[in-house]
Amino acid sequence: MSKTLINAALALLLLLCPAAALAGDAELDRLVKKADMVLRGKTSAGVFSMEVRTSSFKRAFKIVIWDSSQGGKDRTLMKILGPALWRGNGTLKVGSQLKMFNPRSNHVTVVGSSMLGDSWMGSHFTNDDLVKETRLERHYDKALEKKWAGKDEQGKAVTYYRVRLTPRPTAPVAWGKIVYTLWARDGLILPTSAEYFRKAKGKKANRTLTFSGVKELGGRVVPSVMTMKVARKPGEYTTVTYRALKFDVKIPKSKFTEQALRK
Amino acid sequence: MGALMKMAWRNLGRNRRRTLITGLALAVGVALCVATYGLMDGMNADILRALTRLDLGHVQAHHPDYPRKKTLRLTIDDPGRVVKAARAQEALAGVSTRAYGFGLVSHGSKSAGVQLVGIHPPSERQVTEMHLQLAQGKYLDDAPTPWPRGRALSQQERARDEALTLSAEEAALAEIDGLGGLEEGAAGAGAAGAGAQAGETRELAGVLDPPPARPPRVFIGADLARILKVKLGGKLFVMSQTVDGLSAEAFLEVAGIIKTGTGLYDRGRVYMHLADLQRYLHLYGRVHEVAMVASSSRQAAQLAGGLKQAIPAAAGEGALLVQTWDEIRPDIKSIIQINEVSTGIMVLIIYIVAALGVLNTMLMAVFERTRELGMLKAIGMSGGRLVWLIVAETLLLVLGASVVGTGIGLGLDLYMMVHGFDLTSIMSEGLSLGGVGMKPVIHAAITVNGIVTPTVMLGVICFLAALYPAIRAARMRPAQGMREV
Repeated sequence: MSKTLINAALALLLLLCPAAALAGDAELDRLVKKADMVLRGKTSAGVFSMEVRTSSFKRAFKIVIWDSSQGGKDRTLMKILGPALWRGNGTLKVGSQLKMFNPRSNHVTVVGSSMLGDSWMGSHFTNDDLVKETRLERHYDKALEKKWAGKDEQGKAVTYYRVRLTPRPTAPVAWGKIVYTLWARDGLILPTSAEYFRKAKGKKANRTLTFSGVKELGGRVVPSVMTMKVARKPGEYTTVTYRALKFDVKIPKSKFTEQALRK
Repeated sequence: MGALMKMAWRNLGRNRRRTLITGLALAVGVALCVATYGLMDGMNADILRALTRLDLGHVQAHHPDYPRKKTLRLTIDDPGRVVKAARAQEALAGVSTRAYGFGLVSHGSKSAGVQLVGIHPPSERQVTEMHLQLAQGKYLDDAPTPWPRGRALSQQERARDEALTLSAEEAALAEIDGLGGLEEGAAGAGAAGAGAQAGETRELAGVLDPPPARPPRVFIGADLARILKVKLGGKLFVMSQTVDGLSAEAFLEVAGIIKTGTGLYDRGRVYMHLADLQRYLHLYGRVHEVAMVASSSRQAAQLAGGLKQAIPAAAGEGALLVQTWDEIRPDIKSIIQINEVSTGIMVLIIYIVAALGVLNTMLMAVFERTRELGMLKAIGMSGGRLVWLIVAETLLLVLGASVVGTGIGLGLDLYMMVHGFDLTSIMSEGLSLGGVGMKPVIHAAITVNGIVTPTVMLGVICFLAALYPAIRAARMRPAQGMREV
């Protein structure tokens, strides 16, 4: 019996095994954490464009983002660079507090809990998406649904994992279930989609975030494009495309203050 | 018949004390029932008034999906056509157009999510009585706030805007590039040129969406004012999303504060001029609601029917949903009906007790006069006429008691109309029925129904109560009756 045949038989055996047995819990934790953290560092700074397409309008923003999870608190500052109607608009998140600044009225609004479900800047992301500091690996229990061999965007052979994430009782999340898909190749682990289900037993995802445009940014290989689609609004989407991204840079503390928000 | 009446009248006079006591009991019963009806009618009128004259009107027209979804874009695009159709209705007393939106209002560190209500002040005054609910300040001005419409950027301006975005992007990229690693020393580069851009940006944004000449004036509820800690003349900041998905912000000046006793209006709403709200939310001439009042609430169905005929109800372009107040708020309609039924049951119980008294009195009267009645039969009075005699006695008694009782009842009604029935000791804040606020002082209302129903009911019940003694008397054998001691 030749060696290749044995290998093929082993591979077949592997495929037939129950999926959960294939990757241990610790291994699954590691995969999900790596994929979830691929666009995050201790700190990061970047410039992206956001394209919002709805049934009634189409709009594109250029946005700069500063992000830090140093000092035990998640801090994010986003400022809109254009076009004119929004230039200088800013959103500052420190911990779970969200503030928005409008330079035309020179006014800072503290976004209360009643507004958290509203869309951010008319996009398909909600204010809640910005505030929630959920870490998939920390707040969810994982179960492997499926593992299969496939190809990535460039046609290279990769292994796909589809993981069912169920929130732990203490997790500050509104979702009943997330189905998270990622692939791995030579130590590179990248997410491809996250389907959010309102109910744990939901059949159809309420919204779907897909990752694409894999390329090198700031010294890492990352998906540079994220697209959010909402199930009850067919044909609508919001796409975020990173133009520049830098990880683990020194961002002065003063960046995450109301003064910086107003500047 | 005349002789019969005369006899009945005389018979009543034979035991005056008994007649008076029974009559008085009946009169007090009637008085209480008339007063109860008056109070119930007054309360129902208050509920209906609080509902229809503070907000709803008697008839409303919406986009067919609006009442269910309450989405900004589900508007009536041609309100003029609806108003014209409404004005052609005979039953119409007033019609107004309204727009609604949602906003986050803030004042200092306080904020609240509210419903923004755009009303046209001169026509709204004919539909609702919000202008009478002011606790402080004044109602809205008839004229809207001068607030020019924006226009699209010219090619040159657009190029300028794109250049500004590009340079802002370059500056941001340069700033990011200039940042050292986490382990390195502090970075230098700031956002250079940001100040110079601000002026130009303001100019361009002003072309696209110019600000109002002054903060639009609004009136809000007393509870909201307390929550936001804002006083008359204070400025609120409001954030919303326009119908075309833009975020919109504006300052609003609190010009009036209302107190209605209903949380929905006192806590959850900001009222502003229709044209101001349309401009703010980019609705430009579109409204969400046409509210109408009829000359009386009874004409609501007639008004709705006429309007439905004038406006195509079928699905398609310009179709509208026309509803009467009780279709919009069936819960309130049920509350009113329950009030009526429970009052009816109470009156019935009072009268059954009264009727037992009448039964007792008339039975006594028949027993006492056994010999006399036997004599009457012996000299040829028919059984039927004897029944009529007893019934006539009863009805005379009831008639007298009704007149006196109604008089006392109307007196009580009149007192409660003027001074009200004060429940402050039980509920100082008033109560809320399905979100419709009631003041703690109930004022009675005098209606024909409130007088006729209790008196007719008493007549019928006492007639039935008198039948048994009457028939007993009629069945008596004359010889036997005359032999009684």
